[in-house]
Amino acid sequence: MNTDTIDHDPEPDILPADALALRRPDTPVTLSELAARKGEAIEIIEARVQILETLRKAALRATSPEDWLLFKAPEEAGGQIVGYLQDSGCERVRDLSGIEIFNVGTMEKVATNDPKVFHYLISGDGRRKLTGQTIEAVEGGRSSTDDFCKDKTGADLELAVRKAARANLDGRVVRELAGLSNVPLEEIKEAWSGTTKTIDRCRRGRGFGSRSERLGANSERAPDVEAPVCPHCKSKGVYRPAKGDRKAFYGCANWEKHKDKKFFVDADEWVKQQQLQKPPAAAVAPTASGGDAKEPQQQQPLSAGDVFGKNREPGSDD
Amino acid sequence: MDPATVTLTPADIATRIGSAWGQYISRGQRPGTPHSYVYASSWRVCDRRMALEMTHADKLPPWPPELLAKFRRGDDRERDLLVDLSRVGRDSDPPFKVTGQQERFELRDHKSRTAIVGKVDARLDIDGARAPLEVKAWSPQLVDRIETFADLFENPWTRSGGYQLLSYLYGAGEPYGFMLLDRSGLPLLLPVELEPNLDRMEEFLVKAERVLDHVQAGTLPDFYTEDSAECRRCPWYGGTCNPPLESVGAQLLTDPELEAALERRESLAAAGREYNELDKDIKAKLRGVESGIAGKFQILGRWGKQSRLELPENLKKQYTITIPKGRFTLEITRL
Repeated sequence: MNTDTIDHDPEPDILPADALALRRPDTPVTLSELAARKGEAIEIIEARVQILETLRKAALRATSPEDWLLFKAPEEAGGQIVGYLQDSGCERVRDLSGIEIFNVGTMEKVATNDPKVFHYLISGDGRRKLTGQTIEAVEGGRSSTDDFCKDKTGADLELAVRKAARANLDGRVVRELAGLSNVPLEEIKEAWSGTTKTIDRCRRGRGFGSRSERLGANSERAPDVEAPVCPHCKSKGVYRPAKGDRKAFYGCANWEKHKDKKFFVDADEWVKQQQLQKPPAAAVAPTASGGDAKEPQQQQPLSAGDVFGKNREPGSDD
Repeated sequence: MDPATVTLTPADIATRIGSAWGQYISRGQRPGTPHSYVYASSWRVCDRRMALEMTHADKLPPWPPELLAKFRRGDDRERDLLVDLSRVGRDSDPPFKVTGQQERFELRDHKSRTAIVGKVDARLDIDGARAPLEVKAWSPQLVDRIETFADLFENPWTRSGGYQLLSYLYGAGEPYGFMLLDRSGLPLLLPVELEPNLDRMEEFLVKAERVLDHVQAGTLPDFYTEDSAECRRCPWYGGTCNPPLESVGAQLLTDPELEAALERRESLAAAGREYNELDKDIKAKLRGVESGIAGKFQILGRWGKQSRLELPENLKKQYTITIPKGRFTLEITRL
């Protein structure tokens, strides 16, 4: 019997240098190269993804609540809230994310018939070192009618618009390359956990009612009571104001999904009923088709009211 | 406004006075004017910014009243400090006088052009010398970090003040001068010697010469791209100057061993904290117990010699050196 044995090198504890380099998302690699590495390829891909995920969290964590503008989709579309990182916040994220802005063009003025109304445009390219992603001819621009120009005139106004246009270019490049144009609210909240940053300090934009509502006033149309919950799909009822001869009512945002089961609640009746009950609590409303009004509530998706409270003033802390 | 028809609330009155105050402060503002030399207080890391400050000084918007009020407060403090210093000089040993306030000086470059111009706040006539003196009433947050003249060059907001005084010394041919810094307590008088700082002064002069060359040729120096934080501080950024922005980005550390060590560290963090607290408490309680038994534990202690060097403050200061990058603080957060 041949007793010769072949000594196999044990599995190396330390990955070879090129494998370490491949774990970096900025190291170019092709699918064939990864495939040739068999099982190790998975580890490399996971390491790359982990770096990108951690960096994204770190970037979100570096921002302040004041850097974000929140948008809310209509209730019918799900009522999701997403954050848009404003130009000021992009500055904080840019260095961390390794984003460069280059080939910056010259500032171009777009005049109108009214000498007080003009726009400035500037374009440039952007590159993210980490992923090698490049975007070209991104345009930034601002107008003399924007809010920040309110008290400015003459050369002061010109300069302010030009500076804002450049900041907008920088911001657009960063938002695009770092993927921070539409960040789900939950992701921002998670990144801020363990800090003093809270989403109720973020500015509210489209989807949060009229301008005065966003500044804390009650809705001009919807009554200030908890909406009834649809017993068929458990979604929060949507207020439909009176129109012509039709009275105001609450309906279901997802009515198309259960056309055979109607849900209508007379708004005046509901408001009266709610005002008699203190404290007001969301309840499952009786339905036109006689649905069970005592079904337990299911947890609703995060709404603007849940996030900000009803009487929040801009800039106020909890 | 017709007083008969309008009733003002106290809040309205306060708002109107505040607004009038802002207008009063703003009236005193003089717009910048283009000039053919570099101001002594205008050393900048970016040549392009220095050139723009010379040629486009009139293009910057006026300062907001809030900032003008801060400048005014600074000027007032500087004037008060000079008055106090004059009085201090009578009783000082040796006595000194504060003279030559706001004396203009010019520094010429190698091409005999007026390159750097400034006004010396004052001179201290002391011990046969006329030492230039620069007074600064910076933010207390800045001044609290300054102990030596070299510290001025560590902060982008105070750096130009350091170059300013050096140019006075260089221009006046004085071997030393003083920087008087306002503080919440006693002011800090920093001695400044020219000789150890000659390199810095030469660098300023060469920079000014380079900028003057560009201004005379009607060109602008290249963009400064080494640190985009400079652009964020620059008033010309976006409005007049649109440089590319470079970025190093976070360093990517992909060593799995390091990752494993960080994970292990994180998992031990709570236990580590608890151990340290207990260890500290127990050792404090058991100090002096040379032999003891507690439950299942034997405690042995022994006294040993302890040497300590106790030096007077001034001597300690004399032998203290500061290494700009000697301390490194790490903050490790699991995301």
